[in-house]
Amino acid sequence: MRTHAIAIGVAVALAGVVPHAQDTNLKEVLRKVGLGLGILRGVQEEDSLMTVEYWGTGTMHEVGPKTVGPLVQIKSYHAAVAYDFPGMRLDMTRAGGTAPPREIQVVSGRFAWNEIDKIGGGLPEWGSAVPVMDAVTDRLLRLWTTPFGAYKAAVAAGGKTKVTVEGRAVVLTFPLTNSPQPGHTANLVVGELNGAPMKVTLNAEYRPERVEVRYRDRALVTTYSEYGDLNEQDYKADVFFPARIVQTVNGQTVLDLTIQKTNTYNPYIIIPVPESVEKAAAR
Amino acid sequence: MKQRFIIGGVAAVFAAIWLTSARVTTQGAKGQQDQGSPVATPQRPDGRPDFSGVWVPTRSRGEALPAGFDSNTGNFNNVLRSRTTDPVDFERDAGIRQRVFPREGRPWYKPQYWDRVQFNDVHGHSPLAPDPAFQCMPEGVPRMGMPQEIVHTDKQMIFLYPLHIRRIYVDGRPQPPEEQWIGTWFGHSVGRWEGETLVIDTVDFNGLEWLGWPGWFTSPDKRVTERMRRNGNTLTWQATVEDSVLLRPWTTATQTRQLNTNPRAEIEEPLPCVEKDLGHMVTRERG
Repeated sequence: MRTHAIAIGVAVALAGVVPHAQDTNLKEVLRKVGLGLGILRGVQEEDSLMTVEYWGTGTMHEVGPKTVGPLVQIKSYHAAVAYDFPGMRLDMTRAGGTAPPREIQVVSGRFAWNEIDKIGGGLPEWGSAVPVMDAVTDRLLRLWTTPFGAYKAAVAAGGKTKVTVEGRAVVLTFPLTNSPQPGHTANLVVGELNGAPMKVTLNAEYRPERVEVRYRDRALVTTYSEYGDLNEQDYKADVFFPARIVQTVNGQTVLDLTIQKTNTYNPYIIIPVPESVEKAAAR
Repeated sequence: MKQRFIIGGVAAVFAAIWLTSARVTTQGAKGQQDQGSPVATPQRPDGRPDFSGVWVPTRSRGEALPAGFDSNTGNFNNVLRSRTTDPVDFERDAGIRQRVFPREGRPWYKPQYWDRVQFNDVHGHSPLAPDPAFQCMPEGVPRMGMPQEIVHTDKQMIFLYPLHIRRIYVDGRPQPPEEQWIGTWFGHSVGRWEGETLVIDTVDFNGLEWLGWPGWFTSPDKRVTERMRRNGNTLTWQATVEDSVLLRPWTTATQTRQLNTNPRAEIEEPLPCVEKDLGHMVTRERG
């Protein structure tokens, strides 16, 4: 009797941590990821997350083409992400290091630039912008390696996405694939990253806990933990985002963020490309 | 909550109209057969298309049948658009889904107004940034969309909405000079014809009306150009908005309505809009 009880106990314990056989069914796993993140909404369970904002603080190292700079405090980190064009604006204020204290890094489609002094810089009669076209790839990668971005990229890869079980975790592997769908909640524009392998390790709630991408000579790994509905107390949405984000490049930590707040109600984000940036890119 | 019933009601009407739209017949003896239309477009004595009639929402050609419509039985089930039918899910799901607008479908505000749009969106239910439609104020032009009924005369066209009336002057008068503008919800409208298309120019707004749910505010110098065309028993409408707060003109989605061909069609008196929700809202979730 005691043996039976132990066996049943072990079985029950394992059931909680070992993935089930159906966990290798791609369609079902992707559905669980979308539901786990809270972005499949309505009775049709459609991907309903087009834009998101998040705010945090932390530390970072400035990453150059071949070097990693000194540790810098991030006093404020505000990311505005749109998956439909796609685009992302990162407005950071830092202390220490060699970079300017405030930097507004932007990518929109195949254009990247920095806005000078104020949001929207470079648009008519509104500040200025400096093109940074060689940053397009890194900034698009930043966007598609967010938990929502990784899910959308896995869905967009279609039949190329494979599901495996590693230890106790379900893992999705797929190549980042240019599959533009302008105006949709997942408009996969990945530029030079096309074909770069992405590996997404899921936690027990089927939320991405580790996203790994290899491109050029780099292995970029982002880990996500402490998921929660981080919208303000009277503005909850049941969309889940990690409160802790740690990123490494070739094994060295380059970013360590604590996220304090999100807005997951598809906030207003448009990020038009300034004419000066388009002209510079054309040259 | 109020929005929920409005959406449900519109969906039910939408389905009912679709069921009757197959029996559309020609209106008027004199008319011009348009390409692609099964019936002729009736004309007025001056040769212009006659827009008179009761116009009801319908599906566009190629659009899918309404969700919940059973083509075998003809039954229509008004399905609450939430995952679990839990009221909390309903509010949050609707709140998220009603804000799914791709960038090209959003008005492009100048950057100095991006924060205001965001603030309006988050506080649209409260006195901090009230969405006028959420407080029973008029939606204004073009948010109110197509009229329910049109009375077409030689000098003016009267657009009847469930709770409001607009007059479109088509007698060739110009817009009043700007110094005479008084600022109104529906503006001052004059119409002209470009071929078979009625082009309505509207100015003189109060700047209180919004373009849409997610905080899309306007200014008093807004100018709206609506284009309406009748093809048989189908009326098509689209509006373009110019405003000093926008980086570029914003164009609405195209709307269509179908003529109610019942010669004795009547429109019931609508219920008044009475705000009952705001006092009960304890969060900013607005779906």
